[in-house]
Amino acid sequence: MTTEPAPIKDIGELKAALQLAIGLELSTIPVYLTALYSIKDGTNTDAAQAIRSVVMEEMLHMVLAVNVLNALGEKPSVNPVNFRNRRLNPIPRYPHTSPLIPGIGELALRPLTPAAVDSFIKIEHPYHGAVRPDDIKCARDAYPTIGTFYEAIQTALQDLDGLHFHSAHQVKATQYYGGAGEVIEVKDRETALKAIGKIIDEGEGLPPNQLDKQAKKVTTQDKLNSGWQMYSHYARFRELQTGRRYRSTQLARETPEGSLLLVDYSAVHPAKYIKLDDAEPQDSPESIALNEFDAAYTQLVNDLYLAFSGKMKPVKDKIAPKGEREADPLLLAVHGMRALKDKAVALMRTPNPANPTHTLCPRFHYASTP
Amino acid sequence: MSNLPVPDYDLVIVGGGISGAVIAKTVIEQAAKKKKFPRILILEAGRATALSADKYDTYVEAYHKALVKVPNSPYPASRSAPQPDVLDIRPLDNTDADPGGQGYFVQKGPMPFGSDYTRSLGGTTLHWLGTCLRMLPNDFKMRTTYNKGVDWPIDYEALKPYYERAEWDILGVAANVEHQHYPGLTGSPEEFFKSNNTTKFHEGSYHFPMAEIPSSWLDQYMAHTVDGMTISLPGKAKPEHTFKIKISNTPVARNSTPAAGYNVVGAVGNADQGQRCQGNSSCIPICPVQAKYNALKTLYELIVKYPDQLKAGEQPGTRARVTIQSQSVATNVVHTKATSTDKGKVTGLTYKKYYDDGAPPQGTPPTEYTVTARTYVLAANAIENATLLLASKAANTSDQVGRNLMDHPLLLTWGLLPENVGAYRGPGSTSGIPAFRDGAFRKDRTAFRVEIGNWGWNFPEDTPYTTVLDLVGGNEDGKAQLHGRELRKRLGEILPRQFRIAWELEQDPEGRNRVTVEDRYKDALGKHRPVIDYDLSDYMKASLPWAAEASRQLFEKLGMKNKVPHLPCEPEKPGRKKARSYETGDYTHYACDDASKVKYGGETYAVRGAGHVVGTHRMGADPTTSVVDSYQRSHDLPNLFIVGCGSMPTLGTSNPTLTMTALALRTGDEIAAKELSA
Repeated sequence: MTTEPAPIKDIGELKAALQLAIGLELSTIPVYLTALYSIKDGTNTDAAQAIRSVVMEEMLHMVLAVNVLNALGEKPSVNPVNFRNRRLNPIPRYPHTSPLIPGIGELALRPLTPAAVDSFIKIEHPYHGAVRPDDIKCARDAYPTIGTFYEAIQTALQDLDGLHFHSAHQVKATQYYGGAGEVIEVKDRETALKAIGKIIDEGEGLPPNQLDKQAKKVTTQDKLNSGWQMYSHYARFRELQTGRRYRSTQLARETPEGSLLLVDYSAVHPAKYIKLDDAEPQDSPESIALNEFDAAYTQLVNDLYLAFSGKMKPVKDKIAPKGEREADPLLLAVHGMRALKDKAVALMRTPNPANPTHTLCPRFHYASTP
Repeated sequence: MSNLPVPDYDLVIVGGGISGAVIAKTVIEQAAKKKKFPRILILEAGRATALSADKYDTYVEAYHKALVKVPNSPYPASRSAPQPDVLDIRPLDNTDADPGGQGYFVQKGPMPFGSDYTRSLGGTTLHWLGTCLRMLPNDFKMRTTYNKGVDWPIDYEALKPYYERAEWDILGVAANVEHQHYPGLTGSPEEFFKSNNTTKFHEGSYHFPMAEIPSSWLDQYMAHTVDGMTISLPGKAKPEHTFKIKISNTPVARNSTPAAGYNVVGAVGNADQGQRCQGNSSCIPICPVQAKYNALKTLYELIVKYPDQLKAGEQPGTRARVTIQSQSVATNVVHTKATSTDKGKVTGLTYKKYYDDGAPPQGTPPTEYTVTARTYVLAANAIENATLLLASKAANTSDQVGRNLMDHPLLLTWGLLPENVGAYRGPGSTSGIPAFRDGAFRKDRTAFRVEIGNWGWNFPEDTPYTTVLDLVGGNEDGKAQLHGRELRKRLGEILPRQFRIAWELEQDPEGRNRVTVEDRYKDALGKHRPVIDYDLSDYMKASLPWAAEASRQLFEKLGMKNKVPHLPCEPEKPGRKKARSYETGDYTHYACDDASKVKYGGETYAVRGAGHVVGTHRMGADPTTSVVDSYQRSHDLPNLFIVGCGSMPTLGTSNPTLTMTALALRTGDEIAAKELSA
């Protein structure tokens, strides 16, 4: 029997929790991207669309948490934070088991396989696959589920005295696209609660009562815009897992019984993740390619955090005075995301010399020095 | 009149391209304000392959696999609805050859018509570049201002609100007003774009729905090197014309960062994709993510919002409905002749359905149908509209149907810059030089626009593929010259320095440039193929030496003065022994067997088509010299609208799609206001 997680007691703890929330959202992205990029071009269109849509929303949630933290006057940072009596790293090394939210289980990087889809459902299920939250073994200074973690943040934002909000370094709505929902710029308690509410409504923090609601509701407007409103991550992945769509009358907790949704697990690059510590000699071309990917990922994360702290970045420019100009690191990061995809696909097409039935798998290892 | 049969539809539109889609959308939206709910049929000759995300991917795949990547490579042609292809263009100097022997067009010359279009749902917007320049005020009054061509029945100010709607409501144009530097304007760019819609734009201060697509590194390099230079060109009346050069970012229908209140439209059936341009660098022939507008986006919106199928309990006439019927080729505009008291009118439209590339099921012949409507719209492309009208002997009292065919013949010049300018990155073009778009010189020679290309020598030399071939070589002994790392390194030294400019010349309307039909030239369904007579006027040719001279001065400023010799009339032999040296300089040259050579003033030039097919049913106030009025309504048959680029009396120097869209919006308003009242 687990005891109730302790409420967030002061501003310091709230800021630390938000730093970890940003990291939490970021940490799920490589898990989904590895599966997405393993899909061979022109195949598994439905699966690719579903996974991509979830990735897009995780990106949105990350930015929402960033906007709340910045509004509280704290800059998002990649550095370890003290949360209660522990020092936690916001950005994980894979495979990763969150010490903060043990219920999620291990986050591992896998190509699109049935096991990968099972793990996605575990992430997105309200109790992470457990029947009752009480079944999850959890220390009092941690949270059994993502839902309870965000609830604690929500309560703190609602109840804590002495919170001062001001609109600083907000990522704007126009910078988010290609996914359901929109960036909320945070300027006061109300918008902060709205931002966290959005993460809870859309995401892994799926409230348990949602399982007893209609699995999806797609309107005409949804078909023209992003078709994923009112359609939880859990429901999207359940469809992949079962190979069927939900009927419009079904509840999320039911087994989908609608039209077929075929997932061809053979049209996937057979990438195999090798832990950083177990990697081949560092000078093989394969190791170099893996390291280059990690460097690119690290650069991307650094650019993101630089943007979140409201800074510009000097970049080389031959025709600028002194050969340098200031660039918005958020846009550099967007370019980095596009480039990362090409790099990931290239790795997943490269045979693993030690294990020729498999190909290389990106490690998404964040090294603070690129 | 109550004993007249009820027509099948309120509106039948021939052609599922941008004009047809825009008119359907506009009619429905405007009619809804008056609680009217039309039922509309869109007939498309081509296939409807791409109305879902995974099917669109089959086009992308076809593009990847195509050995020669021309505009129609991704869009398979059908024998039943054949389409022109630039690969079919041949020199026309052999007078014994059958002019209909190659491809879809029957090319009677003396010049081959150098452009194509796409006969698939979505039309030529599937492979357009997306350039969305407005026409300049003088472009609408060429006769009055320069005593050339003809005047339009409307002017820039009249079309302005429709340009704004085209940019916001249909195409989604990315541009910054302050970076539009056009010649011949009395005021600033802000004044040129000043809006009368003060509710939407504070004090009429116009802005586009999306921020400009960032200028490429090449554009910035160009601006840094040539902005402010003056190009001097020799004149007739005046000894010298001077043009101040300013690189100007080009408005495009390509998704970028939206202004507040604008909803970016992503890919058809997969709205998450394509909400920003990713720089895939294949706009022509296909944007793989649909960040570039195509008419499928508007058509998809129509069938999602206004499905023809009524739900249980829905009554007909309570909401608008749209059907898109593909593989349906219009063959006859059935109409009555005018009498002394009444004008004629269209009474039906005949079309043939085909199956599986002309082979009907169980060997039955393609079936012919006739459909009726209150109002008819031909939106099938300028050449297709003209062919259909001529075959139907309809709407041609003026004898102008098919005449005044125009394009933007373009002169390409290309060279190798002294440094890496990042060629082959980003959209096909992000900037241009508008300086030559207007001026007093238009009394003597046509205006032209300069498009700066981002894709190296792709257009003139089919690079980067041919550069690879040239370096690999392959001697007679079969040995490659360069391969592996060395080849990659060399390519890295050459490709990013490749530079080219297109000098897009305005063609003037001429009655002799025309589309006709002949019974001996028909396609597999028995529909007439377009027979084309085409040439360039001396007025137009007079701009060729100007463009060449302007190019010379520009190349000199860019460090490419050195004219790299190209052996005259050497056939491009495979297995040539030595690769080119790739020194910095001007590489412009024309192959001896170029199909589109033009001789002028002792010089030979070669021009290409721009894919701008314009002018075959021009609009005007006078029914004796024009086919349609300013609303694109037929002078002869008032319940027929003949729409698209064919209605443009003159072409100006802007790519015509934006103007065509503005005209379609205006036509949609007119149909909603006047045609649905019955």
